[in-house]
Amino acid sequence: MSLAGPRLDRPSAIGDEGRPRAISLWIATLVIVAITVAVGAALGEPTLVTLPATFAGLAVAGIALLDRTSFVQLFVGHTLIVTFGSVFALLVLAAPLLGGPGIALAGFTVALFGIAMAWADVGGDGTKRAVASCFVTYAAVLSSSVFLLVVTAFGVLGWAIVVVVTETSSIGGSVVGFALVVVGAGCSALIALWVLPIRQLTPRSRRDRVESALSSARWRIGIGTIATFGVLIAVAIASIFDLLGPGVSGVPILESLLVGLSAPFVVWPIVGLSLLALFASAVAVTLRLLTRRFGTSAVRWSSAVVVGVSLVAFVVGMAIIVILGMTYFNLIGAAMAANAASIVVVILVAGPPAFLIVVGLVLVGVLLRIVPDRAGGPALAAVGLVVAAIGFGSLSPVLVFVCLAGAAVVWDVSTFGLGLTAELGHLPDTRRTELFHGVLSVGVGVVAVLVAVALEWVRTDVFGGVVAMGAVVAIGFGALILLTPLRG
Amino acid sequence: MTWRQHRWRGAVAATILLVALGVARGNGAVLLGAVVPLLYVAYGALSRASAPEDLVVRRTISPTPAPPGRPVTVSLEVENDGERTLTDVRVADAVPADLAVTGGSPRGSGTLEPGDRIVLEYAVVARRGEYEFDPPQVRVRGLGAGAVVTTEPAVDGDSSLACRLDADAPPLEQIGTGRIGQLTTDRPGEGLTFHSTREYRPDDPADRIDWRHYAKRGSLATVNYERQVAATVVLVVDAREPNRVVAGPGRPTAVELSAYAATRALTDLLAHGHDVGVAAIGLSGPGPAGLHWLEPASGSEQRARGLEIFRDATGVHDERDPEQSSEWSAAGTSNWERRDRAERAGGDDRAERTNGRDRTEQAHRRNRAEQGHGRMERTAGAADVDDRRADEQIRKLIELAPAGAQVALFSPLLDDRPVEAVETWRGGGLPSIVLSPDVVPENTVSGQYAQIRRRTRLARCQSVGTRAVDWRRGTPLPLIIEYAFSANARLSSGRLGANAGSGGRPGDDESVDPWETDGDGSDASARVAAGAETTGSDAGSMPEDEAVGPATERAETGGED
Repeated sequence: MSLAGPRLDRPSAIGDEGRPRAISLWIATLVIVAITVAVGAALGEPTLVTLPATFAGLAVAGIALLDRTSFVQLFVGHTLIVTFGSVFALLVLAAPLLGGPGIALAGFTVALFGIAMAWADVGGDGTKRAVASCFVTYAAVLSSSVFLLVVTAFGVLGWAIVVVVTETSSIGGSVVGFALVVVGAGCSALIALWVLPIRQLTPRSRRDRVESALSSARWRIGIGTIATFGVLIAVAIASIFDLLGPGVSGVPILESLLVGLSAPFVVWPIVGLSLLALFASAVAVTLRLLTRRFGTSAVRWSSAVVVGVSLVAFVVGMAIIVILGMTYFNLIGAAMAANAASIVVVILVAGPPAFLIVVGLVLVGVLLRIVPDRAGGPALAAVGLVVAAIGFGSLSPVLVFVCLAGAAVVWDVSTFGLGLTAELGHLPDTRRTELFHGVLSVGVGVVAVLVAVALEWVRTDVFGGVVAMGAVVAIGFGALILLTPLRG
Repeated sequence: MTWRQHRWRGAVAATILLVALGVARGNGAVLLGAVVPLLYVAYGALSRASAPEDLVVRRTISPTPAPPGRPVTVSLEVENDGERTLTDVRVADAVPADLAVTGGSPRGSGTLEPGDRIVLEYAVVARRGEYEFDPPQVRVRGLGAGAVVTTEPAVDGDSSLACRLDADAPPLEQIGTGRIGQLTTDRPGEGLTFHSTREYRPDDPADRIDWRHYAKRGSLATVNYERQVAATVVLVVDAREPNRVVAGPGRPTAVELSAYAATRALTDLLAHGHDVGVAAIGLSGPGPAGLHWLEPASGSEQRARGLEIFRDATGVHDERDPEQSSEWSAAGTSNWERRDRAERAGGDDRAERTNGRDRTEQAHRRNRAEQGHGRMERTAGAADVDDRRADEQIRKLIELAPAGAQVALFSPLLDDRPVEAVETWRGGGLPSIVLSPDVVPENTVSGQYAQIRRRTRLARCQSVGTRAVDWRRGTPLPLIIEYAFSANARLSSGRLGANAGSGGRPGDDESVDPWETDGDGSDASARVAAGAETTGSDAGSMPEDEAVGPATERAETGGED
């Protein structure tokens, strides 16, 4: 069922409902932009359009791109949502804290976001996708951050252990340290043998032999690692109870041999080989993941994860550059980069939740049928202008009326265009009908503003200081009673 | 029908919000701001619309009747013949549910001042049957677009589209000459057009002696002319269930296209005096082995009987499965069955089709059928029965076809059965041609795969010595049929000649009208096509003593002339 009622005839002739008509959208867009520019000029903030429009437009572009299926488009879409969408959401949520002008700014931003949604034909499904994708991306950011922290901690711990092992001079410590390194190397080798595509890269004629050799190697390395671990435990216990020293001290060669086990030229090559095996394993796993053929949904979610991981990598890289720059070169640019990085971190940490809140509210409105599904964009645009009008309530009555008239015009022409498209499809030429209705709607808006301004003049100048609060309440109730016979 | 469209509920909510905020904060500007949405609510609520009495609607449908697959242009003109301006008029023509719009749009809108008009022009693809166009729906809105009136004005002009298999084939009497034999063979004989000369035989008639040759060389020679022979052709329509598929929504099924091509071929061949038989495989008919079978013969009665079989092939359903049959009849392979059922049930067909629920169900069924899901999932046993029956009918055709006859199979080649049929017929000594309508859309990967398989089948047909002609969408059918049959006549001429007294009809040579022996364009193209096709075994099997051509003659004379 279309917004403006059922379809005019059965849906056999032409395809599904198309985009809202361009003329109606142009009129709505011009109204929003004109009001925003005028208000910006009146307030002395010419950037009132450009800045919010950039964030809102790119955020909607990101949401619209989530409708695609290719990885690159989805990657760009997720990136736009997490970056510009986050800024947009923070702007909408934080600006009202500044008072009336801030509320107006938030309202205009929402209005621009709404009209962009209407252009991009983003409805309930698109909003749902945006919420889910943003959630996944944010989860990927958090989990990859945690993973990075864990890996870093393990790296630091391993480095410290190796340094301690190479610096030890006791027999027990040397043997235990060596055994620890060997156990680690054995584990790395087992992982590498498990992950690396040795069998697949072997010519088919020699594959059986290589496979048996690999099996044998795995078995031997496993046994050797377990045995080394046993030796490690035994030596540790013997060292604790001082059983190793008396037995070995009588044999100087053996003593120097055992102490030499933890020498750097012994330990570091083993550690290096282990790291090389782990690196090769990681590369093999990555290549395997990248070359796997994903389905559509897998591509969608993997792109969200990749965006999250990439953003974390970007921030970490920035942090490293900033730290190095400040530590070794003491650059002014590094200090500026530090400021930028801190802003990026704030956006990445607080932005996605803010986006989830803003777009989630829209989604809840769609699900509760407060916001019409296909007309979600025009509805948001109109709501944004109403919010802006409320923000200007204590500043300028004329701006209030203009914003409200703009909201009504935007809603009128947008839903008219949607209804027209729903009934006739997007093939017929409907420009004349849309223009006629648009001009009529703007005319009604102008009359409404003039009537409101006249009433305001009467209220402030003619009856200035006379009208009591009770009279205002009575006018309000009168307006509400008027609604009863009209009923929208 | 008048109804109100509630477009301003949001404005009502905004009014309430502004009043509440204005009162709560004591802000007069915000409170007065409620006037703005309130005015818009009034603007919508005061909107009025009334049914326009002075709309003149005209519709033209061209061409009608049309053959299956032919684009048909429909033009609808709505004119405001009244005195008041209609600010918002929306029109939607009632396209029959079984037809697909392939170009333009059956909907439109405009602001109509007195004397203004809206013209809709769109194209539909004809499908076999007769389709009634209901009156268009016209929806008029008031100034605020809050009040809506929907009406169905009476329509002048055309109101139905008829689609017949023989729509573009004129009656036989108008184009046929009634004489036997207009296919020119490669074998020389009696006729009018010079072919070659050969050595004189004592029993040669005196009027064929080449007296110039005698004057030059003193020896008698006999002139050979191009022979005009009559062919016996059996047109076979592959009406099996797998072929009841369409290239897109609202388009004719492959069986309909095959029947249309067969109808055209039947008309052309009969008009040229050939004997034509008709068979439909894949159905349960009254003939041998369940075939719909018509013995080869000529004349206008034969055409009428053949058309009846083609109609059955496109409209008849499987009688073993009543559920399936009702599904098929409603699935849109033919409207005739549905109309007949409605008439038998005593109901008015128009009333039946204007019933919204019925239309919706039919549309659902049609969509499922046309998207390939519509075929009822039949049991494997039933499919096996169909396959066995088709096999038996294919084999039976070898017995039924008279000696010297050739078989023309009309099949979309969507499975291997037609290829096996051609192989069986070739093995049984029946020359054959295949004319395959293309119903496979290539805009998907699976469609391209199906198309490759179909073309492979075409190649397989050619590899067994059968001429396979691909009837691509957009190619005029007359050209295809002319090309296929002219070339095939050449190919099979040797065989026709070899079967003296049967398909060749030696006695028919004398009945050739001497004033028309040059033939028409089709004969000329047949000769052109034969040049490319006589390299096969048929040409090679021609007896050397009779095949003395001009080049050979020059060699014998030593180039004296």
